[in-house]
Amino acid sequence: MDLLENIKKLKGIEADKDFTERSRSLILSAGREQNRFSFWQLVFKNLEIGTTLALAGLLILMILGGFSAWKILAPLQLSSLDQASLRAEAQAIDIQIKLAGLNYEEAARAIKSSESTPPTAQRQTRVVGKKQGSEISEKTNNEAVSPMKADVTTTTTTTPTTSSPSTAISIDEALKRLSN
Amino acid sequence: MLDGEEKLIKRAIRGEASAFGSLYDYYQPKIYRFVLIKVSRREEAEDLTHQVFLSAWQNIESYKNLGFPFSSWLYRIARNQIVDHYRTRKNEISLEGADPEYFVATTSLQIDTAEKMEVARVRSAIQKLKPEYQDVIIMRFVEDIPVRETAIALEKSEGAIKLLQHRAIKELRKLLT
Repeated sequence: MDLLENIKKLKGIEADKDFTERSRSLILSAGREQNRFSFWQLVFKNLEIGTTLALAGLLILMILGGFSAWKILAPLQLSSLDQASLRAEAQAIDIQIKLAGLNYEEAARAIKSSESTPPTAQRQTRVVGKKQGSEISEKTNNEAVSPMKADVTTTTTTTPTTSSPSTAISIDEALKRLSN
Repeated sequence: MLDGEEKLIKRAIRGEASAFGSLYDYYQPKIYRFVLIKVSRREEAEDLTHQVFLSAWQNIESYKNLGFPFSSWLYRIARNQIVDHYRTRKNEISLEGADPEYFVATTSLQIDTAEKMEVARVRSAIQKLKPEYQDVIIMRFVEDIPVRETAIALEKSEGAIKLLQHRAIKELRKLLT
């Protein structure tokens, strides 16, 4: 038989049908690697990247700008945080505390002095008290016994033996006297 | 060449799987035969054929700028796949010890047993030739591919192809006598 005829008979070789169908469906469903983009795909892709960057920049600006805006708006909304006024208020509180403490101490001394005053002083008192009856002594005693009833803003003397009537004075006056 | 092949190729490049499916249906038997005659084992031939068309489908965009026939491009891919296959192959099976019936990959050959045996003998002889002789015999005499397309596929001139086929037939006759 002619060699070429025998070679041509090899053309009858065929692949298995199952393999052919399986291979075909696998290949066509495998998809293609998109190495290149169409023009519009490139445009949209660049738009997407640009939009993302723009939003990120805007967010950063908002965060940084928020701090400066806070400072601008703060005086309007947080006036109570003004440090000068806070200091004045704090000082006023201190004054009041000192005055209250001072009144208490004076009253305490008054009580002690009434207990430890010499007889002459006490007799004088009594003598005075005798004439007028018990009103004055009661008055004296009342003043000695109830120191806390004294007005917070009033005191004018430091001597324990005598008690003067309470007078209202201003905070500034009190400050002056304390500083003196 | 397939009728309307250019349009099919353009559609396939655009991503139409059905277009590539038509190309597959036409060229798959040719490539399968080419690979089977060279590697001799049906399983290997199926794997390699599958790889050839998978690679072609996934890289079909690179074809449009080449300027030569689609069949030549497929045969180039097939040759490269076979070369890579032999590089990675660890054990080689001797053809002498193998069952000749195993190499008759199909029973679709409508010939009698004696002719089948003769064809198997020719096929065994082809496998003993140098790779470029094998290529030119299969493409020129089995598949009837024109000289120009064969030259492009084998990356040789048309004159070189004519010379190669002459030498290949001569060598084959020597092996069969």
